[in-house]
Amino acid sequence: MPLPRVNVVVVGAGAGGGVVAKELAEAGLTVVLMERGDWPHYDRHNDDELVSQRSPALGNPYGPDDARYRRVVVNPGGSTSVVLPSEGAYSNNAGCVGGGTVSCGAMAWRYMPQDFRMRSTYGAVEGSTLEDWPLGYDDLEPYYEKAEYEFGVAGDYSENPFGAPRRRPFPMPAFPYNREGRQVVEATRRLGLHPFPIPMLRNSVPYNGRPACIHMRSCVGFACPVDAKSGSQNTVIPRALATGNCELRTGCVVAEIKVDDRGRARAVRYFDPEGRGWEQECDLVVVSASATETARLLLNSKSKLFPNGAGNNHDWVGRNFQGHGYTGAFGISEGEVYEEAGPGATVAICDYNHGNPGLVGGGMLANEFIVLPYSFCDVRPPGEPRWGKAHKDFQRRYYKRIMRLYGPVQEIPNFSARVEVDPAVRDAWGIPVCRLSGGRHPYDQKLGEFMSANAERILKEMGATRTWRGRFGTGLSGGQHQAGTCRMGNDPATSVTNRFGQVHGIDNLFVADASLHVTNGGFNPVLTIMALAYWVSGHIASGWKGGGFR
Amino acid sequence: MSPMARRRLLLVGGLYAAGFLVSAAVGSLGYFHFGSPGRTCASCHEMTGAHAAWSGSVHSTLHCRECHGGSLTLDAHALGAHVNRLVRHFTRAPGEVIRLREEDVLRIQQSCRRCHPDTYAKWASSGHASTYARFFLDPAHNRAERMAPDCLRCHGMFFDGNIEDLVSTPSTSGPWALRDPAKAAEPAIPCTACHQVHSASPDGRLAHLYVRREGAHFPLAELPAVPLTSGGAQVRVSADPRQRLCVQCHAPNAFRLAGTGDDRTPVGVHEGLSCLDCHSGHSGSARASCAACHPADSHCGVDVERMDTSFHSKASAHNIHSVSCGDCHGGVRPARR
Amino acid sequence: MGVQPQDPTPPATPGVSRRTAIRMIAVGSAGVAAGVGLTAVVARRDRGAARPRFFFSPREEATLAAFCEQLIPGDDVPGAVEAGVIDFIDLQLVGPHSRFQGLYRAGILSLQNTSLRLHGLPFEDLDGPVQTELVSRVEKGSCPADLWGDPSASAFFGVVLDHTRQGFYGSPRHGGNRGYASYRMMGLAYPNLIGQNRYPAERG
Repeated sequence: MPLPRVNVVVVGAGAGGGVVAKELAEAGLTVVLMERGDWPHYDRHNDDELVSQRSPALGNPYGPDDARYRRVVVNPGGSTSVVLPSEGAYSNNAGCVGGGTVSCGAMAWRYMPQDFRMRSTYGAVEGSTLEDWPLGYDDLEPYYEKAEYEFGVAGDYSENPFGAPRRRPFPMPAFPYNREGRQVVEATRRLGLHPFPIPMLRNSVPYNGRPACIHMRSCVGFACPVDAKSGSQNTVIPRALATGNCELRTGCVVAEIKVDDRGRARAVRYFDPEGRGWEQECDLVVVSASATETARLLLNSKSKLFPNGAGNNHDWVGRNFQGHGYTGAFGISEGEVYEEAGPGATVAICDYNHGNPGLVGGGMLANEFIVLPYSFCDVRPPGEPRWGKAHKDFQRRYYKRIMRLYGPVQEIPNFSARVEVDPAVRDAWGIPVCRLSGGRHPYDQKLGEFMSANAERILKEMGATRTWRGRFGTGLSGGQHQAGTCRMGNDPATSVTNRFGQVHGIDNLFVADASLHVTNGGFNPVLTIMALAYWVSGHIASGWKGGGFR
Repeated sequence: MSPMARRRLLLVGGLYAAGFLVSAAVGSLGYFHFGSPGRTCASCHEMTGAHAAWSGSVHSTLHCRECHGGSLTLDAHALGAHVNRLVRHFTRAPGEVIRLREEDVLRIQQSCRRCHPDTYAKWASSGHASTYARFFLDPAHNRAERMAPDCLRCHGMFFDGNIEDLVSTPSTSGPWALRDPAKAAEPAIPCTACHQVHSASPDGRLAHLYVRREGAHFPLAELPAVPLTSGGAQVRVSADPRQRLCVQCHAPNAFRLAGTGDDRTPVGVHEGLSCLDCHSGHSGSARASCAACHPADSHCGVDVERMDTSFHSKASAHNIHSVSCGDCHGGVRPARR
Repeated sequence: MGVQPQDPTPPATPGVSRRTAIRMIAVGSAGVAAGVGLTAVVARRDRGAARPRFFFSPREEATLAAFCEQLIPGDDVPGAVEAGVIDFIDLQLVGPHSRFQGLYRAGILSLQNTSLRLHGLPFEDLDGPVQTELVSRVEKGSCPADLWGDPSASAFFGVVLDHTRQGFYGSPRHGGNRGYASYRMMGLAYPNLIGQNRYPAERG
């Protein structure tokens, strides 16, 4: 029984897909929004640290589950391991309506103008595919603004001289600094730095019919029990559904985009919640499934003109996989700094994002979200015993005295960090799974050490009695901030899509998620994903001729 | 033997066998129904925790069946659950946590009522006896608020399901509807919200907070004492442990400022008092509580019950939870008359 | 016995002979007696095991408990065992952690054998400081190579340490952290107060 044809199939109801569904449904196109997960339900796992998206010791509360999903990781020595979604190496992003926006920490950064021009700002880096974006900050600015207003962002850039220029103020006032945040503000000012409140996709006041934040201790990694966090599941997706033009299909796993012999996307093949296979015909397909899953879907979509997967005739799909190395420093305060009002992260500095002498890029530094007790076990100075009485003493003595300045380091992309599909391992639906290989560019370590040293300097200025630096590994980066695998560019030989997310050679196939990111900024990427999705949707809607697209 | 006779013999034999099996089942259930818990219900490890708590509680004179119903029942759910539990027990499958359904909680509430009719009547007259309809179908509330999982933390903590399973919100501005209209008349804060019948508290107190997040009761001793501030100063909060239970739902905002949100912790002249110093635990009523401390006349010679406070009139600007002498006396405490 | 056996045959109509009626009563009574007797016997069978194990044998449990107690020892605050870490691990091994069953089975055996070879005693019977020293060797992987295969000593240590932390610091709903002991130790309130910020700050 064939399904009625629709104009658009959007794959993935996260930060990108939610926006595309809403924009195109409002433009009058009929949309089917496919989501492998379900609507998120706070009550199922509520504030359980062991079933949290940030520490999924016993599984991910908002998907994907360990029973049906797998990935293969190529280890540095060349051997491979099969990994589950609850294991770090899986590089998971949530699988539910709203995607990562349901349970993320909700920092709402705009990338800075230099972040779109990394190659022309800093020149080539050896062994790197560092490049400029095919669009600039000015192109994206109106869409950043639209994302801030339609989702809801609380912030204040008046004290951030490095903030990207903006036409309108934030729609909501910034959150107040917490106890630790106030100390960061004083210390950084003394050092001549420029602290300011972190912009957040979280209501500081009632906004868009949702209440103000109630400051849960368990926020990052968890859904919000009052819906104060602004995700696509409580903003754009309900609006998309309200148009009557959008149908959301949850529990549906897309296996393949059917591309015909003339190089046009014709349909998607997917499995419904009962495991039955369907083909949904459509005029165009937008893939917003995250950098890993979008690449996997394209690679699994082989056709006559694209025998190696959709848009992959130049072997760029899945390349330049990146995320963020997170680093900074820890300090122990003389007195308690813990504050029960969560989520904890309130203050940031952008002094080190660019213009660091002799360095390419940099990153933002912020104070940290409240770390819950199990995760706190790993917050230790180098050489500190991991067990025994010493472990217990550290937990009880320092839990409320720990200070942390941490942030994402802008990664230098490299061609060998990649997502492929595994020739043998399949998921519960028989679809070949992601195979992740490669590692970070060595340059990232240099940046990481620079950022950690700066963070430590600030913590010392804050009066920390003991400090130590964080570091990240040399292995593959990805995780929640995964990006880069379907790079946008002007040259089809060195990119996957054009500047509008349109896959080279397949006019009615688009990508709208962080896969497009040429570089990933020194910031959490979610607002940029949303802005890009508005940008891509705007292009589609303006080129839509009714009944077809070319 | 003729085929007819053989058939007849088989039929009769079958009937006797069936009769034997049914009788055996009845005997087995009867054993559980009437036997002592230690030899029946609690002989399985799954029940030892609940049984131990019950043995140490004031309710240890009551047999399981007084509240939980007996084994000799035709309730299909109960029989099914028993069989399922037995199978899990003997296959050593990890059991799901044995938890009462909301339906059971409300049935047990009727057992509470049988022995404690006065207390039940007091509760029934209080705000805590409000129904799902009262909490979730108030048009003014529905227009101003949004449905959220957190509602169930204090209103409907025993509800089996997610908030979306309880109410539907056809539009963001319009009235809500209960998905199951039968829930409208059910109380959303039953006895067991604040009491654990199997109380094993060393102090014998029955007051325990049911924490929906954990699906478990917390004794008063384990509830945190929450430091509050008012106007930058630390508030002297009563040491009464029962206060800690009240404040879990009657909670201040995240910054722990007295009087914000739903907090009613007294500041001003009544600072340091426990909720229970004035409010009766079950009816919630604070009527006639003044006389417990006050002579009829106050410091300044006015009858305390007639003073301009919210105790006397809800319309008063002087909330009884925060009123201070200076509110009426221009910041100066008057001389005693 | 105040229960009337349910009679499966139609009620005694005038057509049923006295002999049939007697036979029915006899079968019914025998059934009830069998039911009562059998239930009484079965109910008596599983006593004693206050906390049954889904995975560990008593020997394994004794060894693992001593090991975990070294990782998070008890003092004025409960240690791993008192907080229910073994309950947690045992339960999770037949749930989300089932992929670690082989690691525990083999690793505990290797640990037992290591203890016997080096000290001539089961691990759980060693003195505290000797246990500590042996745990340290397991962590570093400096154990007799022939006694450890898959898992290696340090791999076993890593997994047990992680699961011990999960059981000690996670929610009691998973079997460990009894009474939120670890939260109390760290001065973290639970159930923490959750207030609504959405109302204006006024009293009613």
